[in-house]
Amino acid sequence: MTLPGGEISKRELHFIWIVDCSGSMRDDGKIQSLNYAIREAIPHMQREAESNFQANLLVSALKFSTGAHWIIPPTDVNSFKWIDVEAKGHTDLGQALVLLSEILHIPPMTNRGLPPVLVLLSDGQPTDNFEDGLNKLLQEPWGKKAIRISIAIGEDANMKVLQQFIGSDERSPLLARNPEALSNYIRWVSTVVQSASARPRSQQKNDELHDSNVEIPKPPEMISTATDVW
Amino acid sequence: MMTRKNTDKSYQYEYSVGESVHIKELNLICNIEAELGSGTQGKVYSLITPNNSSLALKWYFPSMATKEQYGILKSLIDIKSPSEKFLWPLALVENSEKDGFGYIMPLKDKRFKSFSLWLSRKIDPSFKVLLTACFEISQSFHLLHSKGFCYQDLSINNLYFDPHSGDIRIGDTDNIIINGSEKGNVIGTPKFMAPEIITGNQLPNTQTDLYSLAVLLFYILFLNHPLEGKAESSIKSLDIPSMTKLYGTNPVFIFDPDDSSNFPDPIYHKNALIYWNIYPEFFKKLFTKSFTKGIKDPQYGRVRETEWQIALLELRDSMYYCRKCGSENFLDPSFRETLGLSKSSTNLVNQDNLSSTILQNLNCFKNIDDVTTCWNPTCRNINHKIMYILIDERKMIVLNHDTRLFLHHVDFSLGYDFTRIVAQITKHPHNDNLWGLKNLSDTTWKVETGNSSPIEVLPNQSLLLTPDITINFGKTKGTIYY
Repeated sequence: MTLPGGEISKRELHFIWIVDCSGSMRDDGKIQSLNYAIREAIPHMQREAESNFQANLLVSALKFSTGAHWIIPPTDVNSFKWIDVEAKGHTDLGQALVLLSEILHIPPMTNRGLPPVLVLLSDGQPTDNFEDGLNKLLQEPWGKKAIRISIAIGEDANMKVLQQFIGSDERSPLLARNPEALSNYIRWVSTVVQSASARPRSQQKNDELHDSNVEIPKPPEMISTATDVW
Repeated sequence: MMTRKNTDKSYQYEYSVGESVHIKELNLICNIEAELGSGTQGKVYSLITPNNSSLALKWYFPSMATKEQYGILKSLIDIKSPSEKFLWPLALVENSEKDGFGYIMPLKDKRFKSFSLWLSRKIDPSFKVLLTACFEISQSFHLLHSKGFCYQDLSINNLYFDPHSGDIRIGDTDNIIINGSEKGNVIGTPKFMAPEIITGNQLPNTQTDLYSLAVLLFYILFLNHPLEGKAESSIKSLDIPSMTKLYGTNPVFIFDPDDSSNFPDPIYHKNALIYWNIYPEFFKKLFTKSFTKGIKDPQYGRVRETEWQIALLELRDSMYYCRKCGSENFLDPSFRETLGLSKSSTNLVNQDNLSSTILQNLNCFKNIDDVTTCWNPTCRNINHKIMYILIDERKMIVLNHDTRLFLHHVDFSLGYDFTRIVAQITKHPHNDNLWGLKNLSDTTWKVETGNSSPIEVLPNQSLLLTPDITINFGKTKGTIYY
């Protein structure tokens, strides 16, 4: 006999990829590496979500180049399929953040959720009004509460912009100097960070418990034998 | 060749599949089979071993490979595991080509599943299995604490159970320290941490472990967090500040009898409401104590592991199957009060100090027809015929088709031992309608029936179950009621 009741009540957790598809991402196979790394990370993300009883993980993706648009709507992580993106055009990050602010509005967002995870991947300089977009995003309660992570793909990325997106002094953008590092960081955000929002991990003694919105574990330490290719 | 190591080979802190691991202490050379997972402290790998033993390696991230951690591991390895249920460190591993260090532990069998699969209802255990698992958890932590240790990071993420038997395994044992030594890196997992740790007043200790244990048992048996009621569902974004308030600075039990401000929300906390109606009062009282007194008074208000063990076993022994739908129900001793049977005998001697509510007044507990309703909403059967055995007027065990009596049921001087079965319900070999109690002990039972002369039941013989017979097990006597 099956026991009564149902699964424990879960909170919605939105995980959003914000992907730079500007022309420069074509250089040195960056866009191919990115497509490959996200595909690699998906099964790990699904496995992590399976043991996560507190969150209903919804994954979506937004790309920006000349303009910005959604490429994958919020999808249950178990049926999430990555669609390869191509690189062409400008770097309209501001527009991407405006689009993002629209989806983080209540509704369509639930009023009972976990802090969303926003992952920005970029290799360059915004070509539009980035700050306006960021302000719009931060005006939304869910935008402000979100765990915002940025990954710089190669040394040319504007670290100042990526830092502004994160908005926290304690954390810095992650700099992926080579495909191996990019793959590691993408896997880290799709597993460790998603669970930080939903299923809090063991706290370390020196963690600051009260000052931040969500406790984010340390990113993987990048010790690598590979040479920098970007 | 000679200089290669120092020139172009960087230090690493990860292993790849197939790489060899030399475990000096065990005199073994193993190979990495697969990466099993990555946590906040390091990565865990399964190993291929020459002697086919099931071993795993945990290798710390460089920032976690502290001197302190090394010392903790060294002492845990010296002390040896309290029981096979702990995935205890067996040996330290160092590698000149890798940063930091790691340790070897037993690899848990595939039959052990994470409790989060139960909370997500991806596996389907029975009450009996869940109660057995909860009992084993309480028993294991009792054993650990009685040896002077503190676990520090008790949470649902560190425990595994066999959904068919309730057997458990306890992982992440590398944070275990001597209670009070204030060593180690962790302070616990949010939602499981005692309020006094969240507010920064305490570091983990055995008293905070007891709080985490109560949260864990509540999660497993109610599929809800004990502090997640209306106060939780009214929070839009469950982030650190809101969690600190809910679990730390203003914790209110969802079934607090004196404060309904955090009562379960019927939409989001339906499970809590359903299960609260199923368990008997004597059992629920322990949770009420844990999350009212136990929050206000961490030193003396918390429920001890031995109290959980007794209550969990009594609950397990009070379980019966609904005749109509087969659901597992619990015989609640409080209905005797409804029947006006309660006042006659309250002076039972409590020989082993294992006092608890179900044992009191049991000799009045004879007409139990039609007092309970099956919880199954599509059944709601009220017609239960329940057979039970009352041992020395103190210990009640409902006799179901699959009931087994263990040595601790008939000899109160012994600790719990589920390996020594003394009796088992059996079917008559020729008549399916007749049930018997098979003597699986090595002593002969003397049985008194009301009207004929006493009979003897030799080992491996079965006794036809009829009401009002009394079996002398040697140290105790049990009477059958129906």
